[in-house]
Amino acid sequence: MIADKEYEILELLKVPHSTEAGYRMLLKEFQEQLYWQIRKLVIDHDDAHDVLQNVFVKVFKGIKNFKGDSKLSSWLYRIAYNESMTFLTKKKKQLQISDAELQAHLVEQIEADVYFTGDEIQLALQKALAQLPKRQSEIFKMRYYDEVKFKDIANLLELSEGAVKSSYHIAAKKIEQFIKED
Amino acid sequence: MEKENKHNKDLGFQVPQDFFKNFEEDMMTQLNLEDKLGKETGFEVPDGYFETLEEQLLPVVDDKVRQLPKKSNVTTFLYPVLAIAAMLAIVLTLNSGNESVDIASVDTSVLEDYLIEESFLYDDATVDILFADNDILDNISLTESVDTDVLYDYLEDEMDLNEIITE
Repeated sequence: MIADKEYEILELLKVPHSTEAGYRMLLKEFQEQLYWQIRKLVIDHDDAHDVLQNVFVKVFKGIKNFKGDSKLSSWLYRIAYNESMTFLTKKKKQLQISDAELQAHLVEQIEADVYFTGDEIQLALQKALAQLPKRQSEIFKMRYYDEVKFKDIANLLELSEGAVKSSYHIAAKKIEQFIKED
Repeated sequence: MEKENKHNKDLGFQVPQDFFKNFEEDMMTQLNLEDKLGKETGFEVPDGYFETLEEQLLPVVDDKVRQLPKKSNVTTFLYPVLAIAAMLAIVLTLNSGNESVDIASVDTSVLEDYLIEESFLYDDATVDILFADNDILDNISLTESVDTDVLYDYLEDEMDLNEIITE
């Protein structure tokens, strides 16, 4: 089903007169999924919107070079991940703070965010995630929420599958513990 | 490696050490989290955000994508121009024999006509750049200070694009 859509989009983008239709279909098909993926990483809604915009700029620029060696969705996921990381790095530089401080800062923002309506447990989860090492937190979000395969996460982060699996299980146990205590 | 003998009657299949012990633990953690946390994050978007997102994104993204090639226009034009200038300098030197002719002493309009007749140049913009009294080289001043952040962003964008291209 999704593979058919991906094929259709790529076919539309091959021919100049249907490029816009291709872009539209690509947006329609992936914007929501990519938005949520980004939002979980950058936390703030406005930031997620900006990053999403940058992602599609990169996608539209690079789509001609997409050879189809990987699935379109995996390629998009990778770009969204990279853009989110670039954004967080810039933010960290701007505020001149460390990774851990940035995570703490983002959690503080959540508490005041009108677009966060999570209950106590969801807020506790964000606090728990902020305390994990960066990689563990990323892996947890990808696996638990986005249900990305261990193999694909390993590919994306250039780690071994075994390392990703054990990071995930360590992260999951820590979060379980944190939530129990909270 | 260990054999799980009870249900694995010598077929030769093996599992990693402590596989079943870990599997049980990991499974329990997973179930526990799903039970307590669910898969909801609590993040919300403004009302109607996704309904209008495509209309918001398309013009902005389209605009940015169109603007991008301009970045490298100067260098794209400069390469053929420099190549032609170098070639001309060689041709003129070889043809000049004992007469001392250098490129600066050749009348600009003569040179321009020659190049156009010879179809060396493929468009007006290139011609303009070539005969702008070499202003272009003055404009690209290497000592001009470039804001570090701007440079950083530019390089980062280029790097990202390369990553995209190589998938």
